[in-house]
Amino acid sequence: MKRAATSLVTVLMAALLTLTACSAKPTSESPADPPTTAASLPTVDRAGNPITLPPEITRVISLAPSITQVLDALGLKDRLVGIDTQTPRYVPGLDSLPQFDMMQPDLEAMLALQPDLVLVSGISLYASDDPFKPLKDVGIPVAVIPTSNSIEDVMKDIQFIAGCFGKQAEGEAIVAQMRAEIDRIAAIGATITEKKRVMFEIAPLPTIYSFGSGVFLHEMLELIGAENVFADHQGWMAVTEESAIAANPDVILTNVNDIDDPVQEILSRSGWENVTAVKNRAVYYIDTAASSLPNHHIVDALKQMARAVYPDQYAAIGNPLAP
Amino acid sequence: MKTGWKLVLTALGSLSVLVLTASFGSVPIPPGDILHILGHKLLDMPLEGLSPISADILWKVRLPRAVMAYLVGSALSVSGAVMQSVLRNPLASSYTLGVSAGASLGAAIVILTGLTLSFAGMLTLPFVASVFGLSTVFVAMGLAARFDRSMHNETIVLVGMVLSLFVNAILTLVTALSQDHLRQLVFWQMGSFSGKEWQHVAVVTPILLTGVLLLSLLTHEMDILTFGEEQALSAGVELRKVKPLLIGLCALLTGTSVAFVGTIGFVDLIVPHVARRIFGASHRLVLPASALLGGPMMAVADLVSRTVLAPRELPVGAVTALIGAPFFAYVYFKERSG
Amino acid sequence: MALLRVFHVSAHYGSHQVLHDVSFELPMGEALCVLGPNGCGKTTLLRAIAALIPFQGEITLNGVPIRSMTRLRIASHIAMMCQAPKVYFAYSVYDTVMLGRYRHLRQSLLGRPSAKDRECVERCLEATGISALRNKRIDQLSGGQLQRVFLAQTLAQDPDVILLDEPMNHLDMKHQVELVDYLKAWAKSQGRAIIGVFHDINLALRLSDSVLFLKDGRVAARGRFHAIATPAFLKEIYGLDVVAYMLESFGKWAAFRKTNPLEGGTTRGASIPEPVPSLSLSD
Repeated sequence: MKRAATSLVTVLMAALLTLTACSAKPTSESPADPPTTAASLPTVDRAGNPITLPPEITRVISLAPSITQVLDALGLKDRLVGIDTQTPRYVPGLDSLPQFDMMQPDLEAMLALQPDLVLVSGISLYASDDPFKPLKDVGIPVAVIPTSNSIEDVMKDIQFIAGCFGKQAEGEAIVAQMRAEIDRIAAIGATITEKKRVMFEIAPLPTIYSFGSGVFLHEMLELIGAENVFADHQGWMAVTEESAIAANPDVILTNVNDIDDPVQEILSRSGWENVTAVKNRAVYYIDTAASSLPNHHIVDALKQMARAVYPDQYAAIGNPLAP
Repeated sequence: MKTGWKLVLTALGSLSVLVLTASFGSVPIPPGDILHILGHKLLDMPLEGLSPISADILWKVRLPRAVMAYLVGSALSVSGAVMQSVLRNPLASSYTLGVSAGASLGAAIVILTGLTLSFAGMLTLPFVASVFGLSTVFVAMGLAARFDRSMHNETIVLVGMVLSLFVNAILTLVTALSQDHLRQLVFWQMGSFSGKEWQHVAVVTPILLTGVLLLSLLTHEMDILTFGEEQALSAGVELRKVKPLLIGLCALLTGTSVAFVGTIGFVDLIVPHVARRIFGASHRLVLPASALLGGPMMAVADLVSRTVLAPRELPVGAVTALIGAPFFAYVYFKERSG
Repeated sequence: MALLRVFHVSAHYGSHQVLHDVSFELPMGEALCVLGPNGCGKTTLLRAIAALIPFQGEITLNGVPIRSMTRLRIASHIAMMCQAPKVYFAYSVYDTVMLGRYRHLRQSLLGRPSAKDRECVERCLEATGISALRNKRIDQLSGGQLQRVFLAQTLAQDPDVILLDEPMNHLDMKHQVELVDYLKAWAKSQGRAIIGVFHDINLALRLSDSVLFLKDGRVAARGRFHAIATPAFLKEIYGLDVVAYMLESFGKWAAFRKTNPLEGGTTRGASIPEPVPSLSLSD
């Protein structure tokens, strides 16, 4: 019995962790859009909790790489006084800052940094609803940004973060840039009539993870003019090996980065030899960070996916992630 | 010869379940096509009009997986039955002496270091995991022997538990320090038959068969051991040799299983009780019956895990626990009340 | 000649010395009872003789030290019936008794019982009065029935010496008397011997009049009961005036006999319903 409970918890944990920022938890309630006029700061966070922000934020702790990347894009990196342990590999130049475990942050040490604002993602809430209550109790605003599942929500997240610092205009600019790039891809995508069927692997054998609709990566597949083989299903899912084979995708994308050569691993799977993607060697790696951290960098992943699936159609689009 | 017939019937039923579990999957393949594909693979008949993908799914994915589940289910059940009698504890399981903790640590080390042993190649992980699993049991036995020369069951179980916890603590530490490979570690520990190929079956089969056959030569010893060590010694059982041999063989069965498919609980605990209910307590029957019942039970649990929410896959350990826990309570209390 | 010799045997449990320099001999055909109060080392002595525990000194069987023997060899000479173990698994009575044949089964192909094994088990079932229970599950037996099953198992081992540790404390009087008589006859046959630990002096005396008194792990006396068991000696051993206690009991029985003038328990018994086997078996 205990083993069962433990297994379920680990499944959940694994799901949360694997997908780094892409939580399997659907955010059914759509939080009210924060007011974004230049004069006013947001009064509710992205989870819908009321927050009171000081007019001037100079000391901020970010507990998710996705958030830190946004701060970086807003030119606010120097206001960081603390980060999560994952951040340094995504945003350079922050190695000297105090680091906190995303899932078990040391609240005392956070308090000692005297932050004006703490930004956390949904991952930090996995264990309890309000792990940061001690910080809030002493008046430190803690803004929760639940993991977004649509591109639209990702954009709102960016605007929210910018809004906290009174940088609505800069936030708007980042979002406008995203929209422009997405529209450019979507315009090409709309012209594709023979849609390729794509499977996107988040975790490899023996526990293949992929997703159905209701996930921003699914939206991205549709934007480039491809068809997700699991479109009939909802959310993140572990799929059986045989249904993955039976789906017979034309292209397989993988953003797995914790094994040596994820592409070769897929190409050499026994029983997959007759899958179209494997037969045609149409298996491609998509940058893990860009495709899993929900922020403006997803556009980079979008371009990479577009070029991988339809190299001819998207030849004019540069690959921002090319080494 | 009534029990003989029962055993024959069980064997037939057991194999039919294996065939059935191999016939069902998350992708429907009609029985006619299955025969067709088997004819193609085994008798080299032409595969006209059938998609090669169906053939691959059946032959390269589903069958090795079902056979693996069957073999592991049998091995774990036999080892569970032996552990219960050796330790005189109906609640003992194959994992009692820390096999799975040790194997998990071994697997973690391979996953983290990306180690590949030249002679083991693709099988480095299962090889290292089973070596670690076996070593843990032998260390546990060695420590138990140091603390208590006559190796009482209490000492063995206690040392096994403490060592398990200790090894698990190392594992937790290693896991915490290696966020990059957390997914692989967690998934590995959860246990799964997914991705098993014929080459795995080919490695596992001789080891498990040898273990089970050797154990079946020691059924009288197991029988006597259930009445206590003094009884066994007095009847002439060379306990200092027999007990480590029995436990070692169990560790071999469990360690090999865990190394290939991770830790999957409950089957090893329940099946021996079911076998005893049907065939009585005599290990001469309990061992083959456990093998014949454990195989299909695990194969069915795996079938559930891969079909019930298809194309989604459930962790098979969660399935065995969800079915197993209430079933165990039922069997165990029914057994006790006669 | 002496079948079993115990020379200067001492034994410890941890740092606690339980047996101090115990020596005695057991000739063929003798049934010896070890007597003494709780904790005097009776069970430990049996365990040492069965080589179940380490000991200092020497124990020989027909002149051969048991230390030099394999377990199987020891088992062919000595069988010990331990105080009835807890039963965890539901063996049948027949299978349980058959396990006593372990050393014989080991020699046969695939461990299947030979005709001789089956015949021996039948005899032992018969002797202990449990033939009718042969197919019952042992976890459904009463304490007394179980004790007889293990006694049968010990007999089935077919040793030279049987060591009995409180073998009858769960039995009713009828079975106690029957089994003691059977064991006595068994011991007299073909160069065998028995060492028994009994709390009940009456049972001990019925089995044998040769006794060994232990006190605090030392041999207090060894010989014929009547020769050594003076009232003062028994009082010293047990810390109770044993003779007075016995006489008091017998006094009660004597009074009982006066008020029930019919002579002889057996004829008197005719008017009492004869215990039917099933009744007596269910204890």
